[in-house]
Amino acid sequence: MRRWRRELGCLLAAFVSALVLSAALTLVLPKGAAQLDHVVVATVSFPVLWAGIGLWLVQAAARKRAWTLTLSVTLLALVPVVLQVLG
Amino acid sequence: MSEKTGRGALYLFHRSVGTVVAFVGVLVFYTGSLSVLQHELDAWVLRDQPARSIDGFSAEGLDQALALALAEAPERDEGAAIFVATAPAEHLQVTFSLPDTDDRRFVMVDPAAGAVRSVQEGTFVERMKALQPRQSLERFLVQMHIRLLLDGNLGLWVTGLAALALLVLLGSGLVVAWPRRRHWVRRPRRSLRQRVGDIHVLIGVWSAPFAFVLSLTGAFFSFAGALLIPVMIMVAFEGDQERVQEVLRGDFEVQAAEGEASFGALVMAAKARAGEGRSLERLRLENWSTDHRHVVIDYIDHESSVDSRRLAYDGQTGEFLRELPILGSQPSGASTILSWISALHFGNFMGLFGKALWLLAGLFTTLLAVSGYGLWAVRNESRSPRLARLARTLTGAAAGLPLATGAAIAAWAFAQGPNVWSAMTWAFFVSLALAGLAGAGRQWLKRVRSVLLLGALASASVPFIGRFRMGEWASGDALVVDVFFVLFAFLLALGSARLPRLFPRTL
Repeated sequence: MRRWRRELGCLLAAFVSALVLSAALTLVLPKGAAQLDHVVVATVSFPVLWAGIGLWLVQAAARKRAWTLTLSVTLLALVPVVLQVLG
Repeated sequence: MSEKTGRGALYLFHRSVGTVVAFVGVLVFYTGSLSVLQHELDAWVLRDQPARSIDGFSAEGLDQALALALAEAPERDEGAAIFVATAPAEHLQVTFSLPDTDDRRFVMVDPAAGAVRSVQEGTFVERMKALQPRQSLERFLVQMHIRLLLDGNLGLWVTGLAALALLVLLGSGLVVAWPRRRHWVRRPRRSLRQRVGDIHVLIGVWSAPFAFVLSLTGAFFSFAGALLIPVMIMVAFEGDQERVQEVLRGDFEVQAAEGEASFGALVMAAKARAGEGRSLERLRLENWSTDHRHVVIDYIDHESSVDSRRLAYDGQTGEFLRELPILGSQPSGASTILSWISALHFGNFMGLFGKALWLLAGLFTTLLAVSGYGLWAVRNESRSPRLARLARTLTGAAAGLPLATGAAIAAWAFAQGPNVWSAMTWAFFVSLALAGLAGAGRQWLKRVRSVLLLGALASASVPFIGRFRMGEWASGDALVVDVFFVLFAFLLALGSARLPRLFPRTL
Protein backbone atom coordinates (compact mmCIF):
# COMPACT_ATOMS: atom_id res chain seq x y z
CA MET A 1 0.00 0.00 0.00
CA ARG A 2 2.82 2.35 0.91
CA ARG A 3 4.49 1.74 -2.45
CA TRP A 4 1.24 2.40 -4.29
CA ARG A 5 0.77 5.68 -2.43
CA ARG A 6 4.33 6.74 -3.21
CA GLU A 7 4.01 5.87 -6.91
CA LEU A 8 0.68 7.70 -7.16
CA GLY A 9 2.28 10.71 -5.44
CA CYS A 10 5.12 10.67 -7.97
CA LEU A 11 2.66 10.60 -10.90
CA LEU A 12 0.51 13.40 -9.45
CA ALA A 13 3.56 15.57 -8.73
CA ALA A 14 4.83 14.87 -12.27
CA PHE A 15 1.43 15.86 -13.68
CA VAL A 16 1.40 19.23 -11.87
CA SER A 17 5.05 19.86 -12.66
CA ALA A 18 4.61 19.03 -16.37
CA LEU A 19 1.55 21.28 -16.57
CA VAL A 20 3.37 24.23 -15.00
CA LEU A 21 6.52 23.67 -17.08
CA SER A 22 4.58 23.45 -20.36
CA ALA A 23 2.60 26.58 -19.45
CA ALA A 24 5.91 28.35 -18.75
CA LEU A 25 7.26 27.10 -22.08
CA THR A 26 4.61 29.16 -23.90
CA LEU A 27 6.26 32.27 -22.48
CA VAL A 28 9.78 31.48 -23.70
CA LEU A 29 9.25 29.64 -26.98
CA PRO A 30 9.12 31.67 -30.23
CA LYS A 31 5.62 32.36 -31.54
CA GLY A 32 6.49 31.63 -35.17
CA ALA A 33 4.84 32.96 -38.31
CA ALA A 34 1.30 31.92 -37.34
CA GLN A 35 1.65 33.13 -33.70
CA LEU A 36 0.89 29.58 -32.54
CA ASP A 37 4.17 27.65 -32.42
CA HIS A 38 4.71 28.33 -28.71
CA VAL A 39 1.26 26.95 -27.76
CA VAL A 40 1.47 23.84 -29.93
CA VAL A 41 5.05 22.90 -28.96
CA ALA A 42 4.26 23.42 -25.27
CA THR A 43 1.12 21.28 -25.56
CA VAL A 44 2.99 18.47 -27.31
CA SER A 45 5.75 18.59 -24.71
CA PHE A 46 3.33 17.97 -21.81
CA PRO A 47 3.06 14.15 -22.10
CA VAL A 48 6.82 13.80 -22.62
CA LEU A 49 7.56 15.98 -19.58
CA TRP A 50 5.02 14.05 -17.49
CA ALA A 51 6.42 10.65 -18.41
CA GLY A 52 10.03 11.79 -17.96
CA ILE A 53 9.51 13.43 -14.57
CA GLY A 54 7.23 10.61 -13.37
CA LEU A 55 9.69 7.83 -14.20
CA TRP A 56 12.59 9.77 -12.77
CA LEU A 57 10.78 10.37 -9.45
CA VAL A 58 9.70 6.72 -9.17
CA GLN A 59 13.12 5.19 -9.67
CA ALA A 60 15.38 7.88 -8.16
CA ALA A 61 17.89 6.52 -5.65
CA ALA A 62 18.33 9.96 -4.07
CA ARG A 63 14.64 10.53 -3.58
CA LYS A 64 14.86 13.69 -1.50
CA ARG A 65 17.12 15.34 -4.05
CA ALA A 66 14.80 14.38 -6.94
CA TRP A 67 11.73 15.76 -5.17
CA THR A 68 13.54 18.95 -4.14
CA LEU A 69 14.79 19.56 -7.65
CA THR A 70 11.35 18.90 -9.20
CA LEU A 71 9.59 21.18 -6.72
CA SER A 72 12.21 23.95 -7.15
CA VAL A 73 12.02 23.91 -10.95
CA THR A 74 8.21 23.81 -10.82
CA LEU A 75 8.03 26.75 -8.42
CA LEU A 76 10.56 28.71 -10.50
CA ALA A 77 8.45 28.12 -13.61
CA LEU A 78 5.25 28.97 -11.74
CA VAL A 79 6.42 32.54 -10.96
CA PRO A 80 6.32 33.92 -14.55
CA VAL A 81 3.12 31.94 -15.26
CA VAL A 82 1.32 33.51 -12.28
CA LEU A 83 2.67 36.97 -13.13
CA GLN A 84 1.43 36.59 -16.70
CA VAL A 85 -2.04 35.39 -15.65
CA LEU A 86 -2.40 38.19 -13.09
CA GLY A 87 -1.33 40.64 -15.81
CA MET B 1 10.14 -4.59 2.96
CA SER B 2 12.99 -2.35 1.86
CA GLU B 3 12.17 0.38 -0.69
CA LYS B 4 13.58 -0.44 -4.12
CA THR B 5 15.20 2.05 -6.44
CA GLY B 6 16.35 2.02 -10.07
CA ARG B 7 15.24 -0.94 -12.20
CA GLY B 8 13.70 -2.76 -9.23
CA ALA B 9 11.45 0.22 -8.47
CA LEU B 10 10.53 0.58 -12.14
CA TYR B 11 9.61 -3.11 -12.35
CA LEU B 12 7.18 -2.81 -9.41
CA PHE B 13 5.88 0.46 -10.85
CA HIS B 14 5.33 -1.18 -14.25
CA ARG B 15 3.26 -3.90 -12.61
CA SER B 16 1.17 -1.46 -10.52
CA VAL B 17 0.37 0.92 -13.39
CA GLY B 18 -0.25 -1.95 -15.82
CA THR B 19 -2.68 -3.64 -13.42
CA VAL B 20 -4.74 -0.49 -13.03
CA VAL B 21 -4.83 0.96 -16.54
CA ALA B 22 -4.27 -1.95 -18.92
CA PHE B 23 -7.95 -2.71 -19.36
CA VAL B 24 -8.84 0.89 -20.18
CA GLY B 25 -5.78 0.90 -22.43
CA VAL B 26 -6.84 -2.24 -24.26
CA LEU B 27 -10.36 -0.84 -24.86
CA VAL B 28 -8.94 2.45 -26.16
CA PHE B 29 -6.31 0.78 -28.36
CA TYR B 30 -8.68 -1.82 -29.78
CA THR B 31 -11.51 0.62 -30.63
CA GLY B 32 -8.91 3.12 -31.87
CA SER B 33 -7.54 0.48 -34.25
CA LEU B 34 -11.02 -0.12 -35.68
CA SER B 35 -11.60 3.66 -35.86
CA VAL B 36 -8.80 3.86 -38.43
CA LEU B 37 -11.50 2.61 -40.81
CA GLN B 38 -14.08 5.22 -39.75
CA HIS B 39 -14.43 6.64 -43.28
CA GLU B 40 -14.84 3.11 -44.69
CA LEU B 41 -17.28 2.17 -41.88
CA ASP B 42 -19.44 5.17 -42.81
CA ALA B 43 -19.43 4.00 -46.43
CA TRP B 44 -20.24 0.46 -45.19
CA VAL B 45 -23.36 1.51 -43.26
CA LEU B 46 -24.52 3.93 -45.99
CA ARG B 47 -23.77 1.72 -49.01
CA ASP B 48 -27.31 2.21 -50.37
CA GLN B 49 -27.40 5.99 -49.80
CA PRO B 50 -23.83 7.28 -50.04
CA ALA B 51 -22.83 10.81 -49.05
CA ARG B 52 -21.70 12.85 -52.04
CA SER B 53 -18.64 15.08 -51.86
CA ILE B 54 -19.51 18.81 -51.93
CA ASP B 55 -17.81 19.15 -55.30
CA GLY B 56 -19.98 16.31 -56.63
CA PHE B 57 -23.00 18.63 -56.91
CA SER B 58 -23.60 20.99 -59.84
CA ALA B 59 -22.77 24.71 -59.40
CA GLU B 60 -26.44 25.62 -59.93
CA GLY B 61 -27.55 23.02 -57.38
CA LEU B 62 -25.15 24.45 -54.79
CA ASP B 63 -26.31 28.03 -55.43
CA GLN B 64 -29.92 26.97 -55.04
CA ALA B 65 -29.16 24.94 -51.90
CA LEU B 66 -27.44 27.90 -50.24
CA ALA B 67 -30.29 30.26 -51.15
CA LEU B 68 -32.81 27.81 -49.65
CA ALA B 69 -30.74 27.44 -46.48
CA LEU B 70 -30.27 31.22 -46.10
CA ALA B 71 -34.06 31.62 -46.22
CA GLU B 72 -34.11 29.47 -43.03
CA ALA B 73 -31.30 31.42 -41.34
CA PRO B 74 -31.99 32.62 -37.78
CA GLU B 75 -31.54 36.19 -36.46
CA ARG B 76 -27.79 36.38 -35.87
CA ASP B 77 -24.61 38.46 -35.89
CA GLU B 78 -23.70 39.69 -39.34
CA GLY B 79 -20.17 38.38 -38.95
CA ALA B 80 -21.11 34.91 -37.62
CA ALA B 81 -19.73 32.14 -39.83
CA ILE B 82 -22.00 29.74 -41.75
CA PHE B 83 -20.78 26.16 -42.26
CA VAL B 84 -21.65 23.96 -45.21
CA ALA B 85 -20.90 20.23 -45.13
CA THR B 86 -21.93 17.14 -47.01
CA ALA B 87 -24.50 14.78 -45.41
CA PRO B 88 -25.84 11.27 -46.08
CA ALA B 89 -28.35 10.59 -48.87
CA GLU B 90 -26.70 13.22 -51.10
CA HIS B 91 -27.84 16.12 -48.90
CA LEU B 92 -26.03 19.25 -47.76
CA GLN B 93 -26.09 20.45 -44.18
CA VAL B 94 -25.88 24.21 -43.61
CA THR B 95 -25.17 25.20 -40.00
CA PHE B 96 -25.92 28.61 -38.43
CA SER B 97 -24.79 29.74 -34.97
CA LEU B 98 -27.54 30.98 -32.67
CA PRO B 99 -26.73 34.11 -30.63
CA ASP B 100 -25.92 33.83 -26.88
CA THR B 101 -26.03 30.02 -26.83
CA ASP B 102 -24.01 26.95 -27.84
CA ASP B 103 -26.98 25.70 -29.89
CA ARG B 104 -26.99 25.83 -33.66
CA ARG B 105 -29.63 25.66 -36.38
CA PHE B 106 -29.07 22.82 -38.84
CA VAL B 107 -30.74 23.12 -42.22
CA MET B 108 -30.70 19.97 -44.35
CA VAL B 109 -31.07 20.68 -48.06
CA ASP B 110 -31.51 18.31 -50.99
CA PRO B 111 -29.76 20.10 -53.90
CA ALA B 112 -31.03 17.61 -56.50
CA ALA B 113 -34.68 18.18 -55.56
CA GLY B 114 -34.15 21.86 -54.67
CA ALA B 115 -35.92 21.41 -51.32
CA VAL B 116 -35.27 21.88 -47.60
CA ARG B 117 -35.62 18.45 -45.93
CA SER B 118 -35.39 19.46 -42.27
CA VAL B 119 -34.62 22.35 -39.89
CA GLN B 120 -33.45 21.42 -36.40
CA GLU B 121 -31.83 23.22 -33.46
CA GLY B 122 -29.56 21.84 -30.77
CA THR B 123 -25.94 21.28 -29.83
CA PHE B 124 -23.49 19.77 -32.27
CA VAL B 125 -23.32 16.53 -30.25
CA GLU B 126 -27.14 16.20 -30.18
CA ARG B 127 -27.16 16.73 -33.93
CA MET B 128 -24.51 14.08 -34.47
CA LYS B 129 -26.59 11.54 -32.53
CA ALA B 130 -29.82 12.41 -34.33
CA LEU B 131 -28.39 12.67 -37.83
CA GLN B 132 -28.59 9.10 -39.03
CA PRO B 133 -29.09 6.09 -36.67
CA ARG B 134 -27.12 3.88 -39.05
CA GLN B 135 -24.00 5.95 -38.50
CA SER B 136 -24.20 5.02 -34.80
CA LEU B 137 -21.89 2.10 -35.52
CA GLU B 138 -18.94 4.25 -36.53
CA ARG B 139 -19.72 6.83 -33.79
CA PHE B 140 -19.96 4.05 -31.15
CA LEU B 141 -16.42 2.83 -31.92
CA VAL B 142 -15.00 6.37 -32.22
CA GLN B 143 -16.69 7.59 -29.03
CA MET B 144 -15.52 4.48 -27.15
CA HIS B 145 -12.00 5.28 -28.32
CA ILE B 146 -12.11 9.01 -27.56
CA ARG B 147 -14.04 9.04 -24.28
CA LEU B 148 -15.13 5.47 -23.40
CA LEU B 149 -18.76 6.54 -24.03
CA LEU B 150 -18.56 8.88 -21.00
CA ASP B 151 -20.05 12.36 -21.23
CA GLY B 152 -18.12 15.61 -21.48
CA ASN B 153 -14.53 16.05 -20.43
CA LEU B 154 -14.55 13.11 -17.98
CA GLY B 155 -14.07 10.64 -20.83
CA LEU B 156 -11.25 12.73 -22.30
CA TRP B 157 -9.54 12.77 -18.91
CA VAL B 158 -9.83 8.99 -18.53
CA THR B 159 -8.48 8.21 -22.01
CA GLY B 160 -5.82 10.93 -21.67
CA LEU B 161 -4.63 9.45 -18.37
CA ALA B 162 -4.60 6.00 -19.99
CA ALA B 163 -2.41 7.37 -22.79
CA LEU B 164 -0.05 8.99 -20.26
CA ALA B 165 0.03 5.74 -18.29
CA LEU B 166 0.92 3.84 -21.45
CA LEU B 167 3.84 6.20 -21.97
CA VAL B 168 5.27 5.42 -18.52
CA LEU B 169 4.50 1.71 -19.00
CA LEU B 170 6.54 1.77 -22.19
CA GLY B 171 9.37 3.73 -20.55
CA SER B 172 9.50 1.51 -17.47
CA GLY B 173 9.03 -1.68 -19.54
CA LEU B 174 11.93 -0.77 -21.80
CA VAL B 175 14.22 -0.05 -18.84
CA VAL B 176 13.20 -3.26 -17.03
CA ALA B 177 13.52 -5.54 -20.08
CA TRP B 178 15.89 -3.55 -22.26
CA PRO B 179 15.67 -5.17 -25.69
CA ARG B 180 18.55 -7.53 -26.30
CA ARG B 181 18.83 -9.80 -29.29
CA ARG B 182 17.12 -12.66 -27.46
CA HIS B 183 14.00 -10.49 -26.93
CA TRP B 184 13.39 -10.09 -30.66
CA VAL B 185 12.48 -13.74 -31.21
CA ARG B 186 10.56 -16.39 -29.29
CA ARG B 187 12.73 -18.77 -27.32
CA PRO B 188 12.00 -22.36 -26.28
CA ARG B 189 11.21 -22.24 -22.56
CA ARG B 190 9.82 -24.79 -20.15
CA SER B 191 7.59 -23.07 -17.61
CA LEU B 192 4.28 -21.40 -18.40
CA ARG B 193 5.37 -18.26 -16.54
CA GLN B 194 8.55 -17.96 -18.63
CA ARG B 195 6.61 -18.54 -21.85
CA VAL B 196 3.95 -15.92 -21.09
CA GLY B 197 6.66 -13.50 -19.89
CA ASP B 198 8.65 -13.99 -23.10
CA ILE B 199 5.58 -13.39 -25.24
CA HIS B 200 4.80 -10.17 -23.31
CA VAL B 201 8.36 -8.85 -23.80
CA LEU B 202 8.42 -9.97 -27.45
CA ILE B 203 5.19 -8.07 -28.23
CA GLY B 204 6.45 -5.09 -26.22
CA VAL B 205 9.75 -4.91 -28.12
CA TRP B 206 8.08 -5.05 -31.55
CA SER B 207 5.21 -2.72 -30.74
CA ALA B 208 7.13 -0.17 -28.63
CA PRO B 209 7.78 2.46 -31.36
CA PHE B 210 4.19 2.32 -32.57
CA ALA B 211 2.73 2.35 -29.04
CA PHE B 212 4.97 5.32 -28.18
CA VAL B 213 3.72 7.36 -31.16
CA LEU B 214 0.09 6.45 -30.47
CA SER B 215 0.18 7.17 -26.74
CA LEU B 216 2.02 10.47 -27.24
CA THR B 217 -0.37 11.72 -29.91
CA GLY B 218 -3.38 10.27 -28.04
CA ALA B 219 -2.44 12.07 -24.82
CA PHE B 220 -2.09 15.24 -26.89
CA PHE B 221 -5.59 14.88 -28.39
CA SER B 222 -7.28 13.97 -25.09
CA PHE B 223 -5.66 16.61 -22.93
CA ALA B 224 -5.45 19.38 -25.51
CA GLY B 225 -9.19 20.04 -25.41
CA ALA B 226 -9.88 19.04 -21.81
CA LEU B 227 -7.03 20.87 -20.09
CA LEU B 228 -3.99 22.07 -21.99
CA ILE B 229 -5.39 24.44 -24.61
CA PRO B 230 -7.49 26.38 -22.02
CA VAL B 231 -4.43 26.67 -19.76
CA MET B 232 -2.12 27.66 -22.62
CA ILE B 233 -4.65 30.22 -23.85
CA MET B 234 -4.87 31.72 -20.37
CA VAL B 235 -1.09 32.05 -20.19
CA ALA B 236 -0.09 32.79 -23.80
CA PHE B 237 -3.12 34.88 -24.83
CA GLU B 238 -4.12 36.21 -21.39
CA GLY B 239 -7.47 34.45 -21.73
CA ASP B 240 -8.51 36.41 -24.85
CA GLN B 241 -10.74 33.79 -26.55
CA GLU B 242 -11.58 35.98 -29.56
CA ARG B 243 -7.93 36.59 -30.31
CA VAL B 244 -7.26 32.85 -30.09
CA GLN B 245 -10.07 32.09 -32.53
CA GLU B 246 -8.71 34.70 -34.95
CA VAL B 247 -5.20 33.23 -34.77
CA LEU B 248 -6.43 29.63 -35.13
CA ARG B 249 -8.65 30.43 -38.11
CA GLY B 250 -6.01 32.66 -39.67
CA ASP B 251 -8.44 35.54 -40.15
CA PHE B 252 -7.66 38.20 -42.71
CA GLU B 253 -9.33 41.31 -44.04
CA VAL B 254 -11.18 41.28 -47.37
CA GLN B 255 -11.68 44.54 -49.29
CA ALA B 256 -15.31 45.68 -49.41
CA ALA B 257 -16.80 45.34 -52.92
CA GLU B 258 -20.08 45.26 -54.79
CA GLY B 259 -21.74 42.10 -56.09
CA GLU B 260 -21.96 38.48 -55.03
CA ALA B 261 -19.97 35.60 -56.52
CA SER B 262 -21.70 32.34 -57.37
CA PHE B 263 -21.17 29.97 -54.43
CA GLY B 264 -21.27 26.97 -56.74
CA ALA B 265 -18.68 28.51 -59.08
CA LEU B 266 -16.36 29.08 -56.08
CA VAL B 267 -16.65 25.42 -55.12
CA MET B 268 -15.84 24.29 -58.68
CA ALA B 269 -12.82 26.64 -58.81
CA ALA B 270 -11.62 25.28 -55.44
CA LYS B 271 -11.97 21.69 -56.67
CA ALA B 272 -9.89 22.48 -59.75
CA ARG B 273 -7.22 24.18 -57.62
CA ALA B 274 -7.11 21.37 -55.00
CA GLY B 275 -6.48 18.78 -57.73
CA GLU B 276 -7.15 15.09 -58.16
CA GLY B 277 -7.26 12.78 -55.14
CA ARG B 278 -8.44 15.57 -52.88
CA SER B 279 -11.99 16.25 -51.75
CA LEU B 280 -13.60 19.39 -50.38
CA GLU B 281 -14.77 18.58 -46.88
CA ARG B 282 -16.15 21.72 -45.25
CA LEU B 283 -16.87 25.27 -46.26
CA ARG B 284 -16.93 28.27 -43.94
CA LEU B 285 -18.76 31.35 -45.17
CA GLU B 286 -17.44 34.43 -43.37
CA ASN B 287 -19.25 37.78 -43.10
CA TRP B 288 -21.78 36.45 -45.62
CA SER B 289 -24.33 39.21 -44.89
CA THR B 290 -21.78 42.00 -45.39
CA ASP B 291 -19.91 43.50 -48.36
CA HIS B 292 -16.57 41.87 -47.42
CA ARG B 293 -17.66 38.27 -47.47
CA HIS B 294 -15.28 35.40 -48.17
CA VAL B 295 -15.30 31.60 -48.27
CA VAL B 296 -12.74 29.29 -46.68
CA ILE B 297 -12.79 25.75 -48.09
CA ASP B 298 -11.03 22.82 -46.36
CA TYR B 299 -9.74 20.13 -48.65
CA ILE B 300 -8.50 16.71 -47.58
CA ASP B 301 -5.79 14.75 -49.33
CA HIS B 302 -6.93 11.13 -49.16
CA GLU B 303 -3.43 9.72 -49.61
CA SER B 304 -1.89 11.84 -46.86
CA SER B 305 -3.70 14.24 -44.53
CA VAL B 306 -0.35 16.04 -44.08
CA ASP B 307 -0.98 17.64 -47.48
CA SER B 308 -4.45 18.94 -46.55
CA ARG B 309 -4.90 22.73 -46.82
CA ARG B 310 -7.57 25.44 -46.91
CA LEU B 311 -8.39 27.72 -49.83
CA ALA B 312 -9.83 31.23 -49.38
CA TYR B 313 -11.98 32.98 -52.02
CA ASP B 314 -13.45 36.49 -52.16
CA GLY B 315 -17.23 36.20 -51.80
CA GLN B 316 -17.94 39.29 -53.91
CA THR B 317 -15.64 38.89 -56.88
CA GLY B 318 -15.01 35.13 -56.76
CA GLU B 319 -11.26 35.85 -56.88
CA PHE B 320 -8.85 33.35 -55.27
CA LEU B 321 -7.32 35.03 -52.22
CA ARG B 322 -4.79 32.62 -50.74
CA GLU B 323 -3.94 29.10 -49.62
CA LEU B 324 -3.98 28.60 -45.85
CA PRO B 325 -2.48 25.78 -43.74
CA ILE B 326 -4.86 23.75 -41.54
CA LEU B 327 -4.12 26.17 -38.70
CA GLY B 328 -3.31 29.88 -38.67
CA SER B 329 -2.84 32.35 -41.48
CA GLN B 330 0.46 31.13 -42.90
CA PRO B 331 2.63 27.99 -42.90
CA SER B 332 4.31 27.51 -39.54
CA GLY B 333 5.87 24.91 -37.29
CA ALA B 334 2.54 24.65 -35.43
CA SER B 335 0.50 23.61 -38.47
CA THR B 336 3.23 21.15 -39.58
CA ILE B 337 3.39 19.57 -36.11
CA LEU B 338 -0.39 19.34 -35.87
CA SER B 339 -0.68 17.83 -39.36
CA TRP B 340 1.85 15.15 -38.48
CA ILE B 341 0.32 14.44 -35.06
CA SER B 342 -3.02 13.95 -36.75
CA ALA B 343 -1.59 11.81 -39.57
CA LEU B 344 0.45 9.65 -37.18
CA HIS B 345 -2.48 9.12 -34.83
CA PHE B 346 -5.01 8.23 -37.52
CA GLY B 347 -2.57 6.41 -39.82
CA ASN B 348 -3.58 8.73 -42.63
CA PHE B 349 -0.33 9.38 -44.45
CA MET B 350 0.22 6.49 -46.85
CA GLY B 351 -3.25 5.89 -48.24
CA LEU B 352 -4.92 2.53 -47.63
CA PHE B 353 -1.55 0.84 -46.97
CA GLY B 354 -0.90 3.24 -44.07
CA LYS B 355 -4.36 2.58 -42.66
CA ALA B 356 -3.92 -1.19 -42.91
CA LEU B 357 -0.51 -0.93 -41.24
CA TRP B 358 -1.92 1.19 -38.40
CA LEU B 359 -4.89 -1.12 -37.95
CA LEU B 360 -2.73 -4.24 -37.68
CA ALA B 361 -0.14 -2.53 -35.47
CA GLY B 362 -2.94 -1.27 -33.19
CA LEU B 363 -4.45 -4.74 -32.85
CA PHE B 364 -0.99 -6.21 -32.24
CA THR B 365 -0.40 -3.66 -29.46
CA THR B 366 -3.60 -4.71 -27.67
CA LEU B 367 -1.95 -8.13 -27.24
CA LEU B 368 0.49 -6.38 -24.91
CA ALA B 369 -2.29 -5.88 -22.35
CA VAL B 370 -3.69 -9.41 -22.88
CA SER B 371 -0.28 -11.02 -22.38
CA GLY B 372 0.41 -8.69 -19.42
CA TYR B 373 -2.76 -9.86 -17.68
CA GLY B 374 -1.89 -13.45 -18.57
CA LEU B 375 1.51 -13.00 -16.95
CA TRP B 376 -0.13 -11.50 -13.88
CA ALA B 377 -2.51 -14.48 -13.68
CA VAL B 378 0.28 -17.07 -13.92
CA ARG B 379 2.49 -15.22 -11.45
CA ASN B 380 -0.27 -15.06 -8.81
CA GLU B 381 -1.47 -18.65 -9.31
CA SER B 382 0.11 -19.88 -6.08
CA ARG B 383 0.66 -16.56 -4.29
CA SER B 384 -2.81 -15.02 -4.38
CA PRO B 385 -5.67 -17.07 -5.88
CA ARG B 386 -8.05 -14.06 -5.75
CA LEU B 387 -5.68 -11.84 -7.72
CA ALA B 388 -5.01 -14.69 -10.15
CA ARG B 389 -8.76 -15.09 -10.69
CA LEU B 390 -9.14 -11.34 -11.34
CA ALA B 391 -6.26 -11.42 -13.81
CA ARG B 392 -7.74 -14.44 -15.61
CA THR B 393 -11.11 -12.67 -15.81
CA LEU B 394 -9.47 -9.59 -17.36
CA THR B 395 -7.49 -11.76 -19.79
CA GLY B 396 -10.72 -13.48 -20.87
CA ALA B 397 -12.51 -10.13 -21.25
CA ALA B 398 -9.66 -8.67 -23.32
CA ALA B 399 -9.66 -11.77 -25.55
CA GLY B 400 -13.42 -11.28 -25.88
CA LEU B 401 -13.12 -7.88 -27.61
CA PRO B 402 -13.62 -9.28 -31.16
CA LEU B 403 -16.65 -11.23 -29.92
CA ALA B 404 -18.02 -8.05 -28.27
CA THR B 405 -17.50 -6.10 -31.52
CA GLY B 406 -19.43 -8.74 -33.47
CA ALA B 407 -22.22 -8.61 -30.86
CA ALA B 408 -22.36 -4.78 -31.06
CA ILE B 409 -22.56 -4.92 -34.86
CA ALA B 410 -25.35 -7.52 -34.66
CA ALA B 411 -27.20 -5.32 -32.14
CA TRP B 412 -26.76 -2.35 -34.49
CA ALA B 413 -28.26 -4.39 -37.33
CA PHE B 414 -31.29 -5.60 -35.41
CA ALA B 415 -32.09 -2.57 -33.17
CA GLN B 416 -34.28 0.17 -34.58
CA GLY B 417 -34.24 3.96 -34.28
CA PRO B 418 -33.16 5.64 -31.04
CA ASN B 419 -32.57 2.32 -29.23
CA VAL B 420 -29.60 1.43 -31.39
CA TRP B 421 -27.01 3.12 -29.16
CA SER B 422 -28.10 1.41 -25.92
CA ALA B 423 -28.48 -1.93 -27.74
CA MET B 424 -24.88 -1.72 -28.98
CA THR B 425 -23.61 -0.69 -25.53
CA TRP B 426 -25.41 -3.59 -23.81
CA ALA B 427 -24.35 -6.14 -26.41
CA PHE B 428 -20.71 -5.00 -26.24
CA PHE B 429 -20.34 -4.99 -22.46
CA VAL B 430 -22.44 -8.11 -21.77
CA SER B 431 -20.24 -10.02 -24.26
CA LEU B 432 -17.11 -8.71 -22.55
CA ALA B 433 -18.48 -9.74 -19.14
CA LEU B 434 -19.35 -13.24 -20.41
CA ALA B 435 -15.90 -13.62 -21.96
CA GLY B 436 -14.39 -12.47 -18.65
CA LEU B 437 -16.45 -15.01 -16.69
CA ALA B 438 -15.44 -17.75 -19.12
CA GLY B 439 -11.78 -16.90 -18.60
CA ALA B 440 -12.04 -16.79 -14.79
CA GLY B 441 -11.85 -20.55 -14.24
CA ARG B 442 -8.77 -22.70 -13.80
CA GLN B 443 -8.84 -23.91 -17.41
CA TRP B 444 -8.50 -20.31 -18.51
CA LEU B 445 -6.19 -20.85 -21.48
CA LYS B 446 -8.66 -23.35 -22.96
CA ARG B 447 -11.49 -20.86 -22.37
CA VAL B 448 -9.47 -17.99 -23.91
CA ARG B 449 -8.96 -20.21 -26.93
CA SER B 450 -12.72 -20.79 -27.22
CA VAL B 451 -13.44 -17.07 -26.78
CA LEU B 452 -10.99 -16.26 -29.60
CA LEU B 453 -12.68 -18.83 -31.82
CA LEU B 454 -16.10 -17.28 -31.08
CA GLY B 455 -14.57 -13.87 -31.91
CA ALA B 456 -13.41 -15.30 -35.25
CA LEU B 457 -16.93 -16.54 -35.99
CA ALA B 458 -18.41 -13.16 -35.02
CA SER B 459 -15.92 -11.32 -37.26
CA ALA B 460 -16.54 -13.65 -40.19
CA SER B 461 -20.29 -12.99 -39.90
CA VAL B 462 -19.91 -9.18 -40.24
CA PRO B 463 -20.15 -9.10 -44.09
CA PHE B 464 -23.33 -11.20 -43.88
CA ILE B 465 -24.81 -8.89 -41.20
CA GLY B 466 -24.12 -5.92 -43.51
CA ARG B 467 -25.78 -7.73 -46.43
CA PHE B 468 -28.80 -8.57 -44.24
CA ARG B 469 -29.19 -5.01 -42.87
CA MET B 470 -28.63 -3.04 -46.07
CA GLY B 471 -29.93 -5.54 -48.62
CA GLU B 472 -26.84 -5.42 -50.83
CA TRP B 473 -23.22 -6.55 -50.71
CA ALA B 474 -20.53 -3.94 -49.98
CA SER B 475 -18.50 -2.41 -52.79
CA GLY B 476 -15.85 0.31 -53.14
CA ASP B 477 -14.69 1.80 -49.81
CA ALA B 478 -17.30 -0.28 -47.94
CA LEU B 479 -15.70 -3.49 -49.20
CA VAL B 480 -12.54 -2.62 -47.19
CA VAL B 481 -14.54 -3.23 -43.99
CA ASP B 482 -15.74 -6.67 -45.14
CA VAL B 483 -12.23 -7.64 -46.22
CA PHE B 484 -10.83 -6.51 -42.87
CA PHE B 485 -13.33 -8.52 -40.80
CA VAL B 486 -12.74 -11.67 -42.86
CA LEU B 487 -8.95 -11.31 -42.46
CA PHE B 488 -9.41 -10.56 -38.77
CA ALA B 489 -11.50 -13.73 -38.41
CA PHE B 490 -8.70 -15.69 -40.10
CA LEU B 491 -6.06 -14.20 -37.76
CA LEU B 492 -8.18 -14.94 -34.67
CA ALA B 493 -8.78 -18.54 -35.80
CA LEU B 494 -5.06 -18.89 -36.48
CA GLY B 495 -4.23 -17.47 -33.03
CA SER B 496 -6.69 -19.85 -31.42
CA ALA B 497 -5.19 -22.81 -33.31
CA ARG B 498 -1.62 -21.78 -32.41
CA LEU B 499 -2.23 -21.45 -28.66
CA PRO B 500 -1.58 -25.17 -27.92
CA ARG B 501 1.80 -24.87 -29.65
CA LEU B 502 2.70 -21.88 -27.48
CA PHE B 503 1.57 -23.61 -24.28
CA PRO B 504 1.95 -27.37 -25.01
CA ARG B 505 1.91 -28.53 -21.37
CA THR B 506 -1.12 -26.46 -20.43
CA LEU B 507 -3.34 -27.00 -23.48
